[in-house]
Amino acid sequence: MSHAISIRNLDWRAGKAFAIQDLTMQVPTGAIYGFLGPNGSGKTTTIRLLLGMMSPDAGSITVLGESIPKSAHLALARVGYVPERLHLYGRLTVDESIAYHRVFYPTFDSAEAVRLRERFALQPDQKVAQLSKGQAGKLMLLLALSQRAELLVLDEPTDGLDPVIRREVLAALVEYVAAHKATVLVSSHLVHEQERICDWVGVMDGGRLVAELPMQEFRGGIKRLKLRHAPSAMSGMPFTLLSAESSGATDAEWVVRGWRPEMQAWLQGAGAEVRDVMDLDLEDSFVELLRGARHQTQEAA
Amino acid sequence: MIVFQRIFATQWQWTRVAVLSLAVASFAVPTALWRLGGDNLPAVVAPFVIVEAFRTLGPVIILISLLGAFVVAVLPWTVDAETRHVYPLSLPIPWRRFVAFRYSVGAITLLIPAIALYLGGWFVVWQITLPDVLRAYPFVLAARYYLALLLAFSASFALQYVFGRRATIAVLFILLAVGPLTFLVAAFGDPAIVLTLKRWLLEWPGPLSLYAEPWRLIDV
Amino acid sequence: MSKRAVMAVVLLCGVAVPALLAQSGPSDVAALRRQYDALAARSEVSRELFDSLRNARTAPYTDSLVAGGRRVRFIAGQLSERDQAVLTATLEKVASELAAHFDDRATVLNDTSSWSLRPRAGRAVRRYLRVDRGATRAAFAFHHFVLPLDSAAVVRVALEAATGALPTLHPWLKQYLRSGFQLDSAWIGFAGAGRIIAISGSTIGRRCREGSTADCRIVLDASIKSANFELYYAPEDWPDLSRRLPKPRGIPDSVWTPNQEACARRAEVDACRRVLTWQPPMSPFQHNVRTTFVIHAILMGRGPGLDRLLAASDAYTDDPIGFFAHVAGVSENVLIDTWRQRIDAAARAEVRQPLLPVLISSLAWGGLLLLVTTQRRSL
Repeated sequence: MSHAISIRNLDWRAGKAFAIQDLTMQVPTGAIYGFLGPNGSGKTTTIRLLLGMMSPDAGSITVLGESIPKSAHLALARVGYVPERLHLYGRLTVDESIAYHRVFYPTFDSAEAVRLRERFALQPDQKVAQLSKGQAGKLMLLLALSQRAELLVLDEPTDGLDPVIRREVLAALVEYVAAHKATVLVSSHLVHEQERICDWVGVMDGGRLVAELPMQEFRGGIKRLKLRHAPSAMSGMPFTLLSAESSGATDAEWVVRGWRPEMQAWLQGAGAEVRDVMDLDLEDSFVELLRGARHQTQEAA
Repeated sequence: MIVFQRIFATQWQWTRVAVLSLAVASFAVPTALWRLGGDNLPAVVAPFVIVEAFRTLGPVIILISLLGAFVVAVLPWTVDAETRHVYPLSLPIPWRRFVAFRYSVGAITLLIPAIALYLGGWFVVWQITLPDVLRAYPFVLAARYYLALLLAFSASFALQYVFGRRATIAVLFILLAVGPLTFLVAAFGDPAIVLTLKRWLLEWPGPLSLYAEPWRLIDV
Repeated sequence: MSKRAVMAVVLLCGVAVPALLAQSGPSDVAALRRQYDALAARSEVSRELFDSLRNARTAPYTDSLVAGGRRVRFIAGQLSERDQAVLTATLEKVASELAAHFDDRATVLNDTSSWSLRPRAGRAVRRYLRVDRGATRAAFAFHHFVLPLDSAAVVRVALEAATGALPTLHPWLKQYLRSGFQLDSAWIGFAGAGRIIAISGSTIGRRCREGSTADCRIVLDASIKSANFELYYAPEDWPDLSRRLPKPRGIPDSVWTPNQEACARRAEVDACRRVLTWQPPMSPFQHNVRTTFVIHAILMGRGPGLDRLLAASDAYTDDPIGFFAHVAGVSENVLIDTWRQRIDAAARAEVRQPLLPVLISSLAWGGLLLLVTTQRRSL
């Protein structure tokens, strides 16, 4: 499998407060990769590092085959970027912004830009600084999509938008991906939104990537188990134990990742009785993943 | 080329008011000085009066070159800073090429006030009947003015892009510290240090040698 | 070497190499430094220069250097060792130029007298060196503590030595020379003289600059009293003159103001004549202009001219132009014409300083700043 984005052992530190630590991440070509994590987990920092806007302290980054930050400008010619906050020149109008942006990208589709501008109902002579948050988000997406980029990097593209605009933005994105088979990296803390469009998930917490797995496995692979006589020995488990809580003298509730039905036999072999296997919704799965990762970090410390 | 043209067009949009204002001021300075120092005179004016009228031309020109160039350098940086520099960094153009384009646009647009001074110089010379012993040097004056603009623009540009918002503090610190330090060294320390520093800065090819040279529109 | 490093080197060369190659510029620093380096290359001289400084302190607070049989004293600590050596080398050069220019007449300086160079305290910007030689004092005015090394300085030193050597000087020559040449900040140089004559507001001066020998004679004549303002200033000059002149003492405002305004604003001839007659004696051309004429004459005359200068007699009483033409060994008209050409060329050269050097250095400094600015930026 080829990777549109490949990050290995990335380290970056800003003073004592925050660091990206030993981050390894692979975004398969053609995938829609959901980059999940709570606020302040390092998603935006990671995105800026992989686009060459910041220099890492250690590690390697490759985007579309180009080494970052050395050949960042070569990669950026094929990347459509929508940051979290408006990054365009506020003193230009919508049309002037399109005209400015267009010259940097040989693949820019002006007709598509006009079409999207009309679809998003943006006034051509309105100053960018006067656009609402939703309109600004749409303009940034318009520019990214009109570039005909091979890779879209979207940082909280729907954050703060009302549901109608959010739906418009996601619809345009899905259409683009379907038409152009582009790779998408979309970061968000809105788990349910990622569930609808992503086929890969990377979960970030405290500067680390705590999980990276296909969405299917994320969606279906995290279960809450109700056990009686749960085993105390943890070695050799065929699944990843995220959390374990006692609920009585003999009963326990485990949250596990990577669960498959045949693993019941292992538990029975360990003397446990599986009383129930419950699906978790995505939000709960996400919370349990984070909880498990933080617990592991504390134990390691 | 097309990228440079687009950057030129947008940067000109942001700086044209400042550049054109500077050009108007540059055109007007020689005439203004003549009106202040030499107006209401008979048709044939003594050489001394003519030369004296433009005695303050040098300091005035230097002052407006410093201020004007600083404003022209600050404006595009401010626009980039409004995007927290994310936009230019996200574009597929190497940073140093982008900065070189920004600088080139500024350097080219600063030709406008220099040409305005040239025209303003000829405009005022046309109004004066020059005696044979005096000659006009509007081209030399305008050329020095352009170099002064370029130097001040380069320094302001570098301050902004290297130090960012701290540029103003850096400039103020330098100006506020250098004066008293110079005084202290001259009064109590080794004057040779002051003289050496002055020599390095003000004698060619020091960076400020341009400002120490004669700034004359009309002279012998 | 990376491209950026190559560019930085090229730009530094743009700034520094022309300075190294420059033969002349706003000052002769480069020439003096090369001379110093040439002297330093002669090991016995450099040893002499530096060892004498360390070992031969003749008095507290005094450094001294010995070079070419001459001891030069400085106030200790005012100048660095290197700068003291440069100045001493400069004096060496002055002495050798004297010898080259005036042959054996330069022996007036070749004695064991020492020269004390005392920077005037407290003046960090403009400093003076005073060369003490017995009862004679001469001061070299200089900028940035480097002696202006030109032939005029050579002649000034010669004149100092000459006038110092003579127990008496003919009174009329003394008057013309203003008792022996105060070589101080009043020294304006040939360029300054050319400028003053052109823009003084005197028709006589302008006509002298434009080629009239007769008018130059008036410019150079120290004996004309200023009551003859009409001699120096034509009626068309009077309004400008009245504007520049202050109200003299003893003239009430009620009398002065209306006349001054009538002259300045309306160019009334009678009012102007009254205003200018009330003025104390004035002449637009002072001894600093005459100094340039004298120096020019001595330079033309070289060694034999110096003899003739020292042998000044009553034969030329009240005829300074004739005397200096005799010193120069040319006719009066030739002397005046060549002097005028010299001050004209010097004045124009000062105004028309070449643009190319400052263009190169300004572009190089701008380029260096741009190079610094284009460092890779991170958020």
